[in-house]
Amino acid sequence: MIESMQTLMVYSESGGVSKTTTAVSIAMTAAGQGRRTVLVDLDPRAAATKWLDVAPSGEGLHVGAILGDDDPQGWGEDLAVQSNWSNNLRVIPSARNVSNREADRADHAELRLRTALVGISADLVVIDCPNRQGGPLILSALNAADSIVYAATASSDGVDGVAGARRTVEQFRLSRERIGAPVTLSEAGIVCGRVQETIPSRPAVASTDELRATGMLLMPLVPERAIIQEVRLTGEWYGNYRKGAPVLSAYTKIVNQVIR
Amino acid sequence: MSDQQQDRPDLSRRRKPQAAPDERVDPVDYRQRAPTPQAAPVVSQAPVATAGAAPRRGRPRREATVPFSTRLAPDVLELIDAASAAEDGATIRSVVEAAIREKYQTK
Ligand SMILES: Nc1ncnc2c1ncn2[C@@H]1O[C@H](COP(=O)(O)OP(=O)(O)OP(=O)(O)O)[C@@H](O)[C@H]1O
Ligand SMILES: [Mg+2]
Repeated sequence: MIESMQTLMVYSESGGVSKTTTAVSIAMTAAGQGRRTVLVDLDPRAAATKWLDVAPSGEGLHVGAILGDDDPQGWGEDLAVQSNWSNNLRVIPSARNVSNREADRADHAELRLRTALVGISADLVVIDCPNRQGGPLILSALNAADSIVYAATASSDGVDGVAGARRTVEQFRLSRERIGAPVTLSEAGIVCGRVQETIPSRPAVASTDELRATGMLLMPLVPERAIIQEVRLTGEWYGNYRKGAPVLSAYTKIVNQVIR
Repeated sequence: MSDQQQDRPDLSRRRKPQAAPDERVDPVDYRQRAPTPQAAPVVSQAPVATAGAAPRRGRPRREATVPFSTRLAPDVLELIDAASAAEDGATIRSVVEAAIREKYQTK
């Protein structure tokens, strides 16, 4: 059998620009389409972990265990916990203490996540990244991923976060090339989330134009809906509700463009 | 080589996952354990005692680094020299710190 697992990271250097919403939506939509999916929460804030209401299978058995061990082979499979949202969705949870790993400068620590995911039984791995300017957590994701989706909102923070993230990716490529290592990471596009459908403000229009100018803006824009915030409180999938349909429809079209 | 290459790692032989050693350390209390070899030595001035300073209570606060000067047996000195020469970027300080932590640190 040809290994065809796709590992996709969702990234921006800005906070609150819909990274987690995009990562969870892509993972859950893909799972709904029958793909065996694993969502990796790499953010110490653990927003995705809380939203999906999952807990590590034992004390400390979150993504920080992988990042804190120099031989985490197979641990991706071990640490992935079943989500009750879908039989096809598992989650490698995060926790506040993953923050300790941001100070780690052990040799090759940036390869641990990649190592842990080798051989995992999944068709798709989605990594929800924290908003960091490079650093150990982002490097772990960059080394593990083969595709990257930038998350943005129609705002200057959105534009700025994507620009910073693209610089990080470019720098990562250069440093890989410098040591003669293959670069397999490809940019799948920019998702613009939480877009107001009423008359957009001028900054919003200008920001959307800037995102479009990159040539990577994925369509459609994801509409803003209050239900997205409501389901975070209840730990549910918005796709189960009628009010979530417009958002689900947008993310489904995006999934069809970014997932192989 | 392709004949030798396995499809995937043998998952039955792997180690069971373990929590990171500092799992119970809250991020606000986190200090990096392994010394970073290239870390520039922190130049700290010894606190100058001023007359009338309020007496400190409890455990005295230490500087981030403290000067360390004591007589050592020649064989120990040689060990330190050898160790700091053998490892790229190692310094006397990093070698001594690593050894002390290794033997005496209780988590
Ligand atoms: N389509 C949407 N409609 C309404 N609210 C949304 C939508 N997308 C995201 N949000 C809200 O915007 C906020 C930020 O989104 P999210 O948590 O996905 O961003 P983030 O980039 O992951 O943030 P952080 O940097 O904190 O990790 C959340 O409260 C989320 O519920
Ligand atoms: Mg997030």
